[in-house]
Amino acid sequence: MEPSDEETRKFETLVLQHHVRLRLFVRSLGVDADWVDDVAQDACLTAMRQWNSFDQSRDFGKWLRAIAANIVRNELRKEARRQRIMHTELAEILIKRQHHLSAKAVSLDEPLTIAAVRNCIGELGPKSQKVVEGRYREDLRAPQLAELLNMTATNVRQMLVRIRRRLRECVELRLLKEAADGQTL
Amino acid sequence: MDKRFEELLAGLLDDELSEVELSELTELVRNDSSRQAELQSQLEAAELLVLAQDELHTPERFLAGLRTANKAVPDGFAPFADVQKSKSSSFLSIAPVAIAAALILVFVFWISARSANSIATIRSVQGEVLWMGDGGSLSEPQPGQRITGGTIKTLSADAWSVVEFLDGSAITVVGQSEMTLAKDDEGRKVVTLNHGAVSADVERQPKDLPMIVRTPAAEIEVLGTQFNVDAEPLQTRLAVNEGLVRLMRLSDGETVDVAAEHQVVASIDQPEQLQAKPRGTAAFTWKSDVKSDMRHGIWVSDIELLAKKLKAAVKRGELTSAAAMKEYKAAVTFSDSGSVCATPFQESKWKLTSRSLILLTVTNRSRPTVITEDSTFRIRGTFDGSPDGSFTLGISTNHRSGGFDGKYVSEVSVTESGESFDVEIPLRAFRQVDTQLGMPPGQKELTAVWCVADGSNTKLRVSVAELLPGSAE
Repeated sequence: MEPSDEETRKFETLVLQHHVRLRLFVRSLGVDADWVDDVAQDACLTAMRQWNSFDQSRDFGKWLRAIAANIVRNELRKEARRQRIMHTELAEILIKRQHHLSAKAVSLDEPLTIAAVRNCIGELGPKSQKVVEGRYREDLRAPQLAELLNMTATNVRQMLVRIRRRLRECVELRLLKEAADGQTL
Repeated sequence: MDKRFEELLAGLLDDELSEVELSELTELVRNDSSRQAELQSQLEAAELLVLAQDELHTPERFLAGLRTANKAVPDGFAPFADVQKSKSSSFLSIAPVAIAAALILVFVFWISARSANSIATIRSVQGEVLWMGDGGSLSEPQPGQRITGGTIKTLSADAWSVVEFLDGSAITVVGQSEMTLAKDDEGRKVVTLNHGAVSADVERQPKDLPMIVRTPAAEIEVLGTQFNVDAEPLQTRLAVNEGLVRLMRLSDGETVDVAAEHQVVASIDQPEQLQAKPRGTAAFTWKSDVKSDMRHGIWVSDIELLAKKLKAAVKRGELTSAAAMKEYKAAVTFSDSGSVCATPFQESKWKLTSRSLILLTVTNRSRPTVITEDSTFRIRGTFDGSPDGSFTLGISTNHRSGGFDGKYVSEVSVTESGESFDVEIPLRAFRQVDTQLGMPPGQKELTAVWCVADGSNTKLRVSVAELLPGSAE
């Protein structure tokens, strides 16, 4: 039976709303960066298939993430598919931890989150911005960036750790502020 | 945050950690919730940066990919079937839907505009094959489909696909392989074989615009010829049947010209001089060395198998630990004997059925292995878990002095489930995968042998695969 246009729209709107949060969740379970898209798509396809059994008064995002967690758990059981996971034992620890965590307070809806990330990147110093661009836009690794920026690879990696830490705080703060007073980011 | 943890964390996010370092990081976070929180926070932040910096990961593209993936799911899959009315209505904003729809329309228009710039046509598709266009969307390719650029994946052992460029140059991608097609800014055809095997019939190319075939270990420059390439992570084997092909080893830039009836192996971990060698006279027999021939499966040594059996016997109380240890010590040798095992897996997300697959390559020998009408295959191993006690034995072949010929299969029945088997299958029992006809007469080069069993509980192990000679040699 073909889905009605209304149901399709409803589902796709929910996917658009939860896309960012889903990807972050999948990555935080230890899925390799190159496979996040694939696992997130698997989760959405499964959600499509089970849409008729989903109680729409419930939290769609939470349901979608539970499906994604199950997919990653299944990955860990299947030898041949573990390539999508960074490290089996590490992923097992992260999944267990995720299971015990309650939902985070901050909403990560599109496009506010991406705007917040871009604003937060804009607040970084010029060298940090270059490191972010090189690593995440140009897909350069630390040794290549080190050569370009006249730094050591270790310093580049440490800088990236600090940038990611600062960025996470900055984005959460902006989104909380947005939720509280509805001001422009 | 302590220094060592931070170093490992930084390495992990830069894909630089070795297995040992990954294990060290795992131990550091195992019982430390604050480190776990920091690790997850770093992973999330990295993903946020990917989303903010990389235009390929917009939600609209994700949704477009999801729609294509949904369409590519085989018949019988009915998303949203019998939708129940929700118990409470949820507020739906029209604006995000309209924006998303408009963006998707723009995306579809962009894709349509690009189809005018197609570089090749998919000529045939057999078995499990996926196409990922350069827009990132996945689909099941159709014969006659014109393509701009992208990646074709043949997922099952019995799969192949032929892609033909506009000038008639044809590339056949065979077995479990992944190939990316493109035209570079200068107009050269660029074929990237990430792994697996291709057979190419290349029409004459302009002298200054050769076709380029890239693999993880080599770059091959082609002006017009017939050749076959097998690509593995560390080595590439090129066999030329017609014309002349130049190969460059990527690890050191050394080049070699490979003439007709010659082959070369470019290995990035064995830096000896590159040398094209004559393909040699045909061999009409072949016996697997399962450890080095295996391309899909898990190699298990005989001693490892024995240890598992002894452990199980001790656990069941059939043997004392001391007796098991004595038997184990008596059996330990330094020989490298063993077998290759297969555990069920899903060949693709589109097929929900599981299969066990063992794939052995035959082309890693110095001489071509040739089958005749009188050849017979012998397979030894164990098999369990199939309701009808049968699995499929398959072979891939090339024309005797040319490109891809076809794939042939035969059912193997094992009467005693769980017991070892030792069967001989004559070539006349094989049929063509696509036509179901018998094997046409004449000699063919054997390139791969595989065993595949359907079912999520099947356990297949092969210790010996062998080609026994026919009378026509």
